[in-house]
Amino acid sequence: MTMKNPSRHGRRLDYEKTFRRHHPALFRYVHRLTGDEDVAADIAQEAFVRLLRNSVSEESVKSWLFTVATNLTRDRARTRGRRRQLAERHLPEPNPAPSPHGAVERSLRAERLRRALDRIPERDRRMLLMREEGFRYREIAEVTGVATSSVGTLLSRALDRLTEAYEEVMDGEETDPPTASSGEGGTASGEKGTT
Amino acid sequence: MTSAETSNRPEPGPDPGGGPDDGHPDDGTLMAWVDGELSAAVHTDVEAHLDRCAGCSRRVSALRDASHRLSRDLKELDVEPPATSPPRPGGWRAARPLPRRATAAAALLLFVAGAASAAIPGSPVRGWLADAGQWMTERLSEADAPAPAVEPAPPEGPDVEVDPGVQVTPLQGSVRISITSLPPDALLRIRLVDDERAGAWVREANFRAGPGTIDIWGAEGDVRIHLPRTVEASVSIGGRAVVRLEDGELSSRIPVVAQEEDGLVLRPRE
Repeated sequence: MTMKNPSRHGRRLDYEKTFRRHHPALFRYVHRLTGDEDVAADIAQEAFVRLLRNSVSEESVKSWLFTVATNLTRDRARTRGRRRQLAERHLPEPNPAPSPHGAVERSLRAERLRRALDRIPERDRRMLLMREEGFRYREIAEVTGVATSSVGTLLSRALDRLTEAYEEVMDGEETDPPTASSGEGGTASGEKGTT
Repeated sequence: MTSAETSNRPEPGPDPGGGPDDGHPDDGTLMAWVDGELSAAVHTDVEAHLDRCAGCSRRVSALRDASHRLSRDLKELDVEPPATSPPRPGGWRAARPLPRRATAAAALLLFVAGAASAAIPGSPVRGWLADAGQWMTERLSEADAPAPAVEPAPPEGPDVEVDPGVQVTPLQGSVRISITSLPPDALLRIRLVDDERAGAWVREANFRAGPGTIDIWGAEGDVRIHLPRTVEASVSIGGRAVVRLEDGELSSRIPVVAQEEDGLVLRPRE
């Protein structure tokens, strides 16, 4: 099916082609942001549902989709944050799943990163992840609502904070018992930092 | 890099805005230099400054290292996107497998309720349970099956780019494309185009684009490169220049697998 999304400005949008081109990156971005596969799938899908109802040019569709997905992630995290305040005191002790031997190192790196990302401010996380998706500074500024001239400085600070967070996570691993350390990132971390 | 490393740099000069004038570029400018976000003139000024300033060079290395580590570790977090189709008008959404957690919770609930009811002799729940059990088994095996990737794009002709990629405008008539490494069987497909911009596309890779430059690392698959036929260009792999474009002519230092009307197909590892 080739469906055209009419646009008032710029080239007309080929909806299915847009979906094929941007859905994987959008899903990846939200998954990296939240750590939750189901949330990422829902939000990426919802962003494309909203695209159907809006007039967006081909030139700006990528920024538009990421802006919508970022806002949806933030809204969802707010709602979940309120619910979690009531629920988290009843959370069971985490039970770390055994990893296959060869995957331990990769899994450890992923967990460290997840926990480090959860420790930095939300805006830092969004900006770093958008940069990873190849966004230009102008586009990052557009989505995050900062001045384009500030993006470089904010990104460098975000990288510094992430590096410090990595170090804190690794220091924690040295001092904490291994079970407590490996379990913490696997439970509520997905949305912990997205408030 | 930490604040300690930053403090090892010489004190910034008199330019509080961080411009690369007499003083040292600030962090934002160095970050923008790494990302190819500066204008050509400022980019060149910063480059010249970095050649003579060890402190700023260290800071650039630290920013790059942190950035590369983030790119590498993010890949460990990634999962395949679910098999899904574009949503249709009217709010219809493509079905996707139930989340595994929800499926497991439903199965547990059914099991407990079923066990309690089935304990009653002659209960009609026994027959119902048999049906429900079969249905759940089917759903569970569906949910546990590896999620296929998003449906592949239908063939749309050689000019349609469906892989992720970047495009850049040449800087003073030249383009430099740098690839850190390639898998053993990957091909390099270079085509001369009438477009004003150069571009590179790979099924999976990290890209960094700046004025006239594209850096690619972590490439997994063939790399397709479009070069405007009027520019001077170089393509390097692992720091070694392997292809050059001068006066509209492509020359290669690696084996050519196929010569096409507008380009070359190369196999770097042969």
